Amino acid sequence: MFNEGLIKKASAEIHVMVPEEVVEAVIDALRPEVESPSSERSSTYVRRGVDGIVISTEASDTTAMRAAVNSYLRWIQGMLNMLSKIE
Amino acid sequence: MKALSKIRRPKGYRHPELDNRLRRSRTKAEADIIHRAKRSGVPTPLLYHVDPDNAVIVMEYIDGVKVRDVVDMLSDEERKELFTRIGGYAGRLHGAGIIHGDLTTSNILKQGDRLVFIDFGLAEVSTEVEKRGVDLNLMNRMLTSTHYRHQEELLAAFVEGYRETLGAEAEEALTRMEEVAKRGRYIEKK
Amino acid sequence: MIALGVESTADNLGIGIVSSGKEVLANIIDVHVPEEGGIHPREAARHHSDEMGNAVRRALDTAGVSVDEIDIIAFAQGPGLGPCLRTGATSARALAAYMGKPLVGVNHCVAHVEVGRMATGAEDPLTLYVSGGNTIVSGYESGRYRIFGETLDIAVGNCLDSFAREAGLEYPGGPDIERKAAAGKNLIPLPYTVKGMDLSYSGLLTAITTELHSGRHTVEDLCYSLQETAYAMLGEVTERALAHTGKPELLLTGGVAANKRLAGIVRDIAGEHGAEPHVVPIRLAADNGAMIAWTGLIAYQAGHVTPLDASHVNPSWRMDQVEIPWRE
Repeated sequence: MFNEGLIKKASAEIHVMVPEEVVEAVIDALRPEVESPSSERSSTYVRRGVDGIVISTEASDTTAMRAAVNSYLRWIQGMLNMLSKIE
Repeated sequence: MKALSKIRRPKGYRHPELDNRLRRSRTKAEADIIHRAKRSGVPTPLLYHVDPDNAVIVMEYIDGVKVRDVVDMLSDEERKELFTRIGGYAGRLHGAGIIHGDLTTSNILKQGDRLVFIDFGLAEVSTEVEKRGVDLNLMNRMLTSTHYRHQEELLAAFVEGYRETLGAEAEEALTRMEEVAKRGRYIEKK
Repeated sequence: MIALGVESTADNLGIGIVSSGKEVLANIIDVHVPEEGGIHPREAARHHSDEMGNAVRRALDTAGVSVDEIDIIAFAQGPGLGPCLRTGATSARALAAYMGKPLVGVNHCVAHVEVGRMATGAEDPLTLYVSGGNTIVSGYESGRYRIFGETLDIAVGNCLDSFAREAGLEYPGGPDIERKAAAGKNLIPLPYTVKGMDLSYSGLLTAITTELHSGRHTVEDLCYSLQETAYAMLGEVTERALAHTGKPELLLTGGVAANKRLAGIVRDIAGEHGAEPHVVPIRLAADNGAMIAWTGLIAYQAGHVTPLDASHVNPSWRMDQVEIPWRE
């Protein structure tokens, strides 16, 4: 039986390809979320990476991990979707 | 001697059954509580006649002005003294087991030097700390909305008067008042 | 000057485009309908993310403006549900950053009042704002919107919607309750809870649910009794606040403003106190983006801009915490 209680930490680093012209805007838009996370059980950092953005999340449990990762990916997707439609 | 008939008129926008129920019970409650308040040393109009079925109370007419309207016209000293007195009366009410239910400056008249508490229509009989806290918070809220200019000093004067007349039980009620104030659905994030 | 506003505090996604000439050039509303039960914040937020691009596109097309012609990007910064707020906020920030336009964070409740004033011409109203998420009686007093009365637990719209779900009524619940209430005859005694200037609806919801499950009443009588009680409570608090403040106008807004019975009560009360009644038209009364755009615009014109590091959402932002420099 796998004891989940042993997992004290979970971490993830996700690379998202983002067009060069919107990378800065997306990172700026995420910065206030990085600074005021909605949960104490995770923290996420966002930085520029090769070809786009890198999201690094650390969490005290996998549920918090999934929630954080889902949120950031969702926000990025929403932003990219919108920015692609405005011109 | 001038008399005033307080008639809880039917409110056209309410369903008649609901309306009658509310008017009748509130008329009886108000009359009972005015008697109690008077016995506890809080100035109220004299009651001459009570008719719950028609939701009428005939009482003494107080020839005065609403405290609400004179607050801004007083000197700082007078304002503080006024609110210390009001706090003192609030303490007596609570001490007599009365929760006013609508403690605002529109419900206190100033007749020369005399202060008179009118409109006990939403009052109830209780000594519960929670209800005292909510009651005090109504005055607190009135101070933050209508009399915001002097809010802090008036609240301090009120509290001082309240402590004087209620004594030991005052602290609990005041603490609860602060808790209730924070409890509004949205709590300010600091 | 033209502003684009993003509204995403709860289940409505709204993108509005408004001009400083008070023209609503576009007001796109995309409602997330929960599959079952009440609003689920993460599901609603997902909906808003998925539809953000389409909504913005439709708004621009409807307004017939290009994105370059937008001068200000406004967004609802609070109060509301965290995940939903953040979805709108991130998109608004990205748009402002990408276009190099100023960002203006707006208080959702203040926006309801301001667009209400704009749409009805009311200058200094006492406002009864009633929706699924909020129940607030407010009025302007020296620099801020003061809260004279509010719900201590759930909003009246939430009470109605919850009952509608429980009773298996159509979605949205409010209009169906209104229809059925019109055929109701018997008033069922229910808890009527007004504490000073504040209201409490959770007891009423519990009681009406109990009556529903008792099987003793027709659904028409239940809807009728629920409305009569819930709205009489609103009437009492509103009337007291109107008497206390002496405001010249009474404004009704929020999703529940569409209810004709409530509008009638507001008109009666206004008449009794010599105030002019105003009911905000539903497209601007329910949660929408145009109100955010308009409020952002007037805030900007009064000198307000929200820097990025002050653009965090605030799910519990009270309307009396907001400075209102554009009013005397």
